[in-house]
Amino acid sequence: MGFGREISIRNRVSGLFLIVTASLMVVVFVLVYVQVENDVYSHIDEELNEEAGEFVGGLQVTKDGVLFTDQAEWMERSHITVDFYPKFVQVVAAGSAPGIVRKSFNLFNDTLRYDPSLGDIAFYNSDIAGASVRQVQVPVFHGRNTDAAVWVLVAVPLEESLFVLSDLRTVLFFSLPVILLILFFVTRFIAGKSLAPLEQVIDTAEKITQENLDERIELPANRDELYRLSSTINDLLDRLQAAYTREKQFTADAAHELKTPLASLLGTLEVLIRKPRDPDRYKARIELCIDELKRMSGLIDQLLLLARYDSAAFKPDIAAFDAREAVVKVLDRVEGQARGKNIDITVRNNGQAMVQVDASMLEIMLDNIVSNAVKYSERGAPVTIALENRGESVTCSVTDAGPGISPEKVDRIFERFYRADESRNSQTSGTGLGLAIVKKLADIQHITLHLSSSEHEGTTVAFEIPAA
Amino acid sequence: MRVLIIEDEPGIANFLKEGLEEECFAVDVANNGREGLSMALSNDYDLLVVDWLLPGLSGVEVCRQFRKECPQVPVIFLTAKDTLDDVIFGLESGASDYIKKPFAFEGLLARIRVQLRTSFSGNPLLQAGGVEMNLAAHRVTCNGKDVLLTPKEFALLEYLLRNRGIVCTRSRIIEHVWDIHFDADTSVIDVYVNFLRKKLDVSGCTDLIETVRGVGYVIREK
Repeated sequence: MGFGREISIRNRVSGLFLIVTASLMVVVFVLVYVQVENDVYSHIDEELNEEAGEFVGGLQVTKDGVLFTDQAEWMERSHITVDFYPKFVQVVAAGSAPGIVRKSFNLFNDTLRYDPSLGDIAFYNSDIAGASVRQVQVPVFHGRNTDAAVWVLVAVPLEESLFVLSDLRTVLFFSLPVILLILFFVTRFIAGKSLAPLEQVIDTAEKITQENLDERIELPANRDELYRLSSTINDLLDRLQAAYTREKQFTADAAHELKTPLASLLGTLEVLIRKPRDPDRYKARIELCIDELKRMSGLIDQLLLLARYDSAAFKPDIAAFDAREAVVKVLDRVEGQARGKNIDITVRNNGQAMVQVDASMLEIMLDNIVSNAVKYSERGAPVTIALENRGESVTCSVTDAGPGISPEKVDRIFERFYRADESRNSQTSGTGLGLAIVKKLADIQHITLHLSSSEHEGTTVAFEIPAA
Repeated sequence: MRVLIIEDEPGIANFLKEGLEEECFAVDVANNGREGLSMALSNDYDLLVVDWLLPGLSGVEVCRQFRKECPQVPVIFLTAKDTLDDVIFGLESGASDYIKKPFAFEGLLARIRVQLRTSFSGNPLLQAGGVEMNLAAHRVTCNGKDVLLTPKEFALLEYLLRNRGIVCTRSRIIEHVWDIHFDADTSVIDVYVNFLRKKLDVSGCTDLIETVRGVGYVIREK
């Protein structure tokens, strides 16, 4: 339904409120009117009934005609004049000789209407010479006859009661729209007032771009829905800002890491060709450049790897796999590096180590951790790889006796481009992405990663891998 | 002219040192911020080339602290950061100039020359007697004739010309013309001054460099 989509909450609330109130008021007004009308008629009818009873009691039907036994009743003031609560009475003969038998004085030349079709006592609205009256028609029987011999008709003026009812109708009819109109504006005002802070929220939120992501919506004093909305938006902004800052930092770091070897290459070659040099010099410089190029190429590989794993579409290929195979492969790869530093890598395991992982990812992770352990260890220091089957999971840990990482750096060690040794590229080559990749891969495969380290004693990195 | 390079990346530091030395600068290298700052404060450098991202103490911090002590010496920033905000931030922290990595060596050289020119006389031509030194063209002429000088001779003459009218002590000459690794044997200056005098004599510019006995050398303004 397209209707109403453009209407503000304020108008919608007051509109809905109005419709509901209007329906309720119509129902209430109708009930009130019907009740009052009933009251009025029942009051009159009671009076008519009483009066008719008196007249019926004051006459006798004989086979010759009607005998009036209570003449005084007919002489009461209300039956003679019309100015003080008049009551009109008329006795009508039915059957073979119809006609008016007797009528009260105050009827003068007029007569009450008589409806012979009505079988029993009946109350109805009628008129005397155009003036509204309420009248009752009571049958009086002769002996055990079932047909009425005469009818006693009593009428009272209805004019005043009808006037009261019509007045009530008018009041109800005209007051309804006025009340509704007032109500509409009042609710609109209240709704507007309570929604006004929302406008402020919208204004602030609209102004926030990536340039001023640190701005926040001012929280209202009352802890109401608006407070929750504002604080929810603020929390969202916090997360956005953090993600944006991380992204910006990552881009800046990546640019720095790529531009540095590029600058070194460019500068080295430029200086080299400024004048003729001897061949050894050329060779040394070109080798330097090749090293830089290798470093760049490694960095680009890792950046692409991260970009691939970061993409939401990427799904790891998780299957049952023996973790020992991965350890063997990684040992093969780092053997040369370890032998160069006279490092002995010990492998311990307590039997089968079947795990649920992406085999190639597990290798990348282990490769990173083990080569880090070798890289940061002193010559001849031991490195241990332990596989421990714990039923539900398999823990794979790599322990070195390297320099360790200080506690304040442990928290940041998995950040992209974060490097615990500040002397960045001086002694140990590396991109600062290795551990970030390990972390990313662990997250993708639901592997829990623990790093414990104490300075000058060594570091242990442990993966808790779901068992197959 | 003596330059300090504060750069942690050995690849960049090496070619800068090599290239600048070939351009007759005396070059020292520091590979972290703290070492760089202490070297900058304890030696008399004519110019600093500072990398922004440094282990220990950032380039910006080095620059700020150095500026408090030596407001005159030009500092050129090297950095991979390239947004406008970074440029402004770098220059506001006291850098005289700013060059983005990767950069052309010739470009850096030109910027270094501009900074030295402004911090000294403001003229790319240094003159005294019949000798004219064109720094941009790296050429020395004597009475219109070219004089071929070795890099050290060139640097020595440049230093004396830049400070003409002022007596340059041997230790100051050593500080500005030779790098930190030079063994402070000041007699080598006498040897180089002799080489210079001979080359200038041949071209007809005699008695340009005067000896101030027991102190050093001076080129007088005439």
